[in-house]
Amino acid sequence: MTDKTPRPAPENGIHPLARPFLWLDKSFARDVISLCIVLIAMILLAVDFFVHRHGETAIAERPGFFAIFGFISFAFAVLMGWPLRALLMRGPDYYGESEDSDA
Amino acid sequence: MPDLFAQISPAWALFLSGLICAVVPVHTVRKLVMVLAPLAAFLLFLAPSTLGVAGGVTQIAGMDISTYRLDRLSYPFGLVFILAAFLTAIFAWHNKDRVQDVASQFYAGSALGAVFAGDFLTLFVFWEITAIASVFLIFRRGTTASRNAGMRYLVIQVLSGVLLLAGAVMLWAQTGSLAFDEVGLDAGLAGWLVFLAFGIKCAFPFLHNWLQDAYPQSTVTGGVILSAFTTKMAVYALARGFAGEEILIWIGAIMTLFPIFFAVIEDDLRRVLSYSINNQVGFMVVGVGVGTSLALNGAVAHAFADVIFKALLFMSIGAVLMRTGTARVSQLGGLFKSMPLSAFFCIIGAASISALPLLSAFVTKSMILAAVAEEGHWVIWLILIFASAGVLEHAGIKIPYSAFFGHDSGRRPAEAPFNMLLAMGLAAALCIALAFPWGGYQWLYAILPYNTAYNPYTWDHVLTQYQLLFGATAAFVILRLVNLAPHEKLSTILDFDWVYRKLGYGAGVWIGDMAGRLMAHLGGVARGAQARWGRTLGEVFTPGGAVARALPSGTMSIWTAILLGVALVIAYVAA
Repeated sequence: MTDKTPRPAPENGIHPLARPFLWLDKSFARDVISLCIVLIAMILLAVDFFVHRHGETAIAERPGFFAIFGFISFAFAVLMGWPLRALLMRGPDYYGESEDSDA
Repeated sequence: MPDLFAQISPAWALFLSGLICAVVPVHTVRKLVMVLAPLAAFLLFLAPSTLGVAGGVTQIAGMDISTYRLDRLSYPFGLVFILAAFLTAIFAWHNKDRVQDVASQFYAGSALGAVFAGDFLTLFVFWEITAIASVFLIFRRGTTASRNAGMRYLVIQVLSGVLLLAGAVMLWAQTGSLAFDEVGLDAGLAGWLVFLAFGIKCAFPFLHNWLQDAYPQSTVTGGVILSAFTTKMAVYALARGFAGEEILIWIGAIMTLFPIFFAVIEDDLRRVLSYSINNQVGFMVVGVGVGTSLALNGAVAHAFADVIFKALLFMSIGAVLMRTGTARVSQLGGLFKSMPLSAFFCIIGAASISALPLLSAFVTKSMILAAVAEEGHWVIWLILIFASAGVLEHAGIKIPYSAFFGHDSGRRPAEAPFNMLLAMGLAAALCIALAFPWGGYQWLYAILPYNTAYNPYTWDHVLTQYQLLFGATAAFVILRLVNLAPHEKLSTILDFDWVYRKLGYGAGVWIGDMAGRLMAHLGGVARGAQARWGRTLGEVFTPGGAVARALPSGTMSIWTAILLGVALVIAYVAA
């Protein structure tokens, strides 16, 4: 019950340890990181066509299986969010139970 | 003397701490006791020189009771529960609520007691104490939602205990023993009752809603404590009683799947984490279902790792909730600027749960996948790979990204207090240590139920894991880029609990309403009948009524003659 008080951070709110990482918030940095992730994914996919590796199942031994299956799985899970949202999303007070403290 | 200590369940150390907390009003003393109690429990845990201990043995009404069974299955669960009690005590150092202090000690103690229970009666007692003690961690949030969710939680949890007791009594009648060993579904109704009892606490599909309902409504520290014990205690019970039951493979696979879709659209991060518990416990249930030594090792190891990384994630989001007053994605973002350490620890937890090489789930979940493939369940294997990508979506990326990065909410709350950071730091260090290739995972594997030569760090495994994770992260990046990912909104997402919270509640209200009307109508009818009878009786028996009316004596003598005549005829016929 005592653990709810929001407290402002010192100065302008920026923590000294966060200062070297503020560039993460710039859109250019985000684009570069995004590009790097896609590039690494593509390199890892390409590697599969040049090395022979053992898999736990027959399908796992197919070149590119993990990278492609990971991509499709993730995309499917996220895209299913659209129909599920339409089907299951209701207002925040749907059950009529307040989440505000009444203590 | 050491022999005596070797017979005492470590659970009693936490119960004693709970009792001390109940009577000590001084905050610092209570907290010190809460931190020292798991250390005392750990010393008791170390006291037996060999495994296979059966301590606290007694006989009650001819039944053999054992409160302390330390063997290779209960050992890792006991150890991680003691560890969780220690970490959560540090995390809750700042919290001045005595009720929560007492509840958390009894809750952790009873979970530990359940894991060490050698018989069903002991298991039942601790099973129910976990329910009763833990509900206060929900109630103490002090909101209408937490009160209602707490009541629903309590009803379902107590029901689990009642089913367990019913099943145990039937088993006792069948076998004459209360020993908590392998049960199996071949035991008939008794087996199914125990299975259902475990299934409720394990949050099987359609029995899972208490988790997503109650955990997000708990207090900041309560959420962390809750995440560690109940479900993993149930996994232990399943591994003890139902290892190798094939139905568990499918139940577990479904558990890994469905939470993914709910977690994608959920706005409340603590509810996302609750779905994530479902998902991770699903992996363990599959492992228990497969039942081979590798699969059981995987299930136990994953439970061990999960207690720590799940607690870490709950801690970091708990810190956010404490500092900002919300855990909603729609109201958060950019918090790394003022809470960089919490953000860092959250990333460690998120990467651990996603099974990034060098972090804990990588060395534990892979054993389950290998065992599933080894037994030829390739459909299940594919489901688990899909679920692994799904974990990355909701726990690996969504939680750290939406709270600490993403759209800047403009909030600049202070960093979490030192005690919270310390607990998070220790948990994060454990996530790294458990997967450390030189001595880390080997230590974990050595305490598992079966000896194993499994090596998670083969180059194929590391490569394929990176392929899966980067392939999935590339999907995240591209979907964000083309704006195809649905954004979370302040909302309620319906789940199966709608059936009892809306449909069942609505039906209840309707039935109540109808019953009221029926009673009103019946009341009217009854009142009318009563009035009529009253009138009739009044007409007959009141001083002015028919009976009291004065009649001529001649009438009386005529009726006497008639009656005597009738009696004469009857006597004649009878003769």
